[in-house]
Amino acid sequence: MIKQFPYINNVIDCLDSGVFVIDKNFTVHLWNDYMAIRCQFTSDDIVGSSLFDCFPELPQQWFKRNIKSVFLLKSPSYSAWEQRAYLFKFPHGRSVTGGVEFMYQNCCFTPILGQDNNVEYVCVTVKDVTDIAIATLKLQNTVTELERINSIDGLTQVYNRSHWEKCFRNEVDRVNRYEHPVSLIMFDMDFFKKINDKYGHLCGDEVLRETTRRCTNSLRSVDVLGRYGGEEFCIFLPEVELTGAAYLAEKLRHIISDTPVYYNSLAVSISVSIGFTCSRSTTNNYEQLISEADTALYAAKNNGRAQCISFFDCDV
Amino acid sequence: MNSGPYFTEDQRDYLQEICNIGMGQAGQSLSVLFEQYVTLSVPSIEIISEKNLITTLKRLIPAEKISAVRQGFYTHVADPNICGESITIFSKTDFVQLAQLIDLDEEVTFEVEQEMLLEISNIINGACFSGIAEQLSERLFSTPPSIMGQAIIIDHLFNKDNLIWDHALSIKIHYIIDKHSFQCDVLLLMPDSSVQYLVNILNRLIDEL
Amino acid sequence: MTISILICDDSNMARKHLKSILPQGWAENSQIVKNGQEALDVLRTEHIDLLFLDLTMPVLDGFSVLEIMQSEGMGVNTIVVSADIQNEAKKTVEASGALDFIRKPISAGKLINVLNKHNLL
Repeated sequence: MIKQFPYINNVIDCLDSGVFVIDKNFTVHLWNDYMAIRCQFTSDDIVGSSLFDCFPELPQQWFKRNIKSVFLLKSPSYSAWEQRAYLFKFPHGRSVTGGVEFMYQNCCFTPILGQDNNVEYVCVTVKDVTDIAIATLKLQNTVTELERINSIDGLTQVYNRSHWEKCFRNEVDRVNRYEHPVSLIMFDMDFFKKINDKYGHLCGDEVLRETTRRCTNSLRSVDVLGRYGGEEFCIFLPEVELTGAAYLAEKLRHIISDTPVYYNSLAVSISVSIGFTCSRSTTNNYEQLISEADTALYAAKNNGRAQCISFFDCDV
Repeated sequence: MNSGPYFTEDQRDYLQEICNIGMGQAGQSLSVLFEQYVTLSVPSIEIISEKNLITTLKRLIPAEKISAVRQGFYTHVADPNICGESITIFSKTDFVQLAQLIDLDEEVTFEVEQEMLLEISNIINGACFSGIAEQLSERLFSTPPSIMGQAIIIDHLFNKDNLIWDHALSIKIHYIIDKHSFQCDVLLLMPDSSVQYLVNILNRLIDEL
Repeated sequence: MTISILICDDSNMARKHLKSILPQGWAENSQIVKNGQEALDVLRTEHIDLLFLDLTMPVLDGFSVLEIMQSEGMGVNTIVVSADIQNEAKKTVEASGALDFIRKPISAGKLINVLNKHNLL
């Protein structure tokens, strides 16, 4: 306890945080300048009144619950900006450059013991943590953006191989746990090197972009497309069985190759070879499934290209 | 239990008894607050080495995914002192039940879930620290609680670079509130430097016996 | 009046402490045991006037001891001494036949009050 200082009240008003004291009926007994400056109530206005009468928008039930535990347990309680941005909607100092409309707050509820060693009052401190909050939120956004960039293929904007594989591995785990099927389609551009040689790499790039666009438009939101290699793509289809995969593979083949890709004044005809497979039972291995789709794709290439072949129709 | 180089039989026994009594107080406070019967396990005490921290935790808390809240506690800041951290671990949390337990009137969003974890941890720790502090005739102060992780595996709980101690005293208590299917584990951890101060307190109390 | 008592607690400290605050010359025989099973073994073979029983013990806890004593009609005067002090614990213990309940840590004063209350001194 501090030795008595004659100007103790001035000290409380000097504090760079809000400080106020309430009793178990939420009557205010102390209200420092920091609080007074940021709201419409001076100390004279509010001391003696009910906190909730003056601030009806306060989360009453939350407040009562937290104060109750302070009174009963004689130990402090807290509120943090990460979970509750503020208790009091105060303006903050960065009104020009901040980008937020209110002060983020960390609050602390501390017991004040009376003569009989029971809690007589609760002292509430309100700290401005807006700067920390803004910096933390910005950091979180940057990290999210970095993650997004790391998982996307720059050219086509679909998932890159490593991220797609990660997603597929998770899906296979899920399949093994819940016994739901997943199908895998792997397709490869036919004679892609010839397109690059004949029309140039920029055209080749556009072919890849247009192919993925056509593909994405025909897939459901749960289907996951990724660029597996230079001109090779993979799609996994949750909850889809073999017949569904066969149907979709053929549909995709038409959507991709029935119309040419237009680049500058050129109309470039394209076709794809497709291999597909499906999970069985609950002991699937994601690498094995990829290998099966690859085998089927290889068979399609060998059989004249521009076609779909199922792994189960391959002579293994 | 491995008492290591730290505790004599008497000291260990006294510490166990202090924890039992402290937990009894905590249970009483919590049951009044929640208006429910709170079951507390007998505190289990052991010395953990920093090298074995993760394996020991996995043995103490056999759950795949956990959420954890940390909160610091200390007697006073100047050396020598007791300075440690409490880690509250939730392995199966039914947030709907939890909301009923604390009488929540808000919609349960991700932030509200986090707030509930923090609130419960703070309450349990508050009761726990008071209970033990009274038996030690010391005052225990706490820092605000913060979330260590939500639905993560134990391996990801700590940043190994931040563990600057060799051994820590661990006191583990299991809490159950039957009616609301609520349970959690609290680990009070004190690194070597604090243990010596604790031993001095125990010796003083044993002499007074 | 000299009586024989049994102290049942898994903590050495708690046993020592209780023994040290017993009124002088009151108990001729005082035995100690470490858990509920050992307590039952003694109670079944010897005459004990008063049992001091802790609740949280390994092997067999205090609640179980009371239940077993009740079902076997043992009728030994029991005072429960425990750290677990919630109301429900008290009610359960009294319903199982305990005379009274003292909260740890016990002081000499508290002990005398309870002994007087039940005319055991």
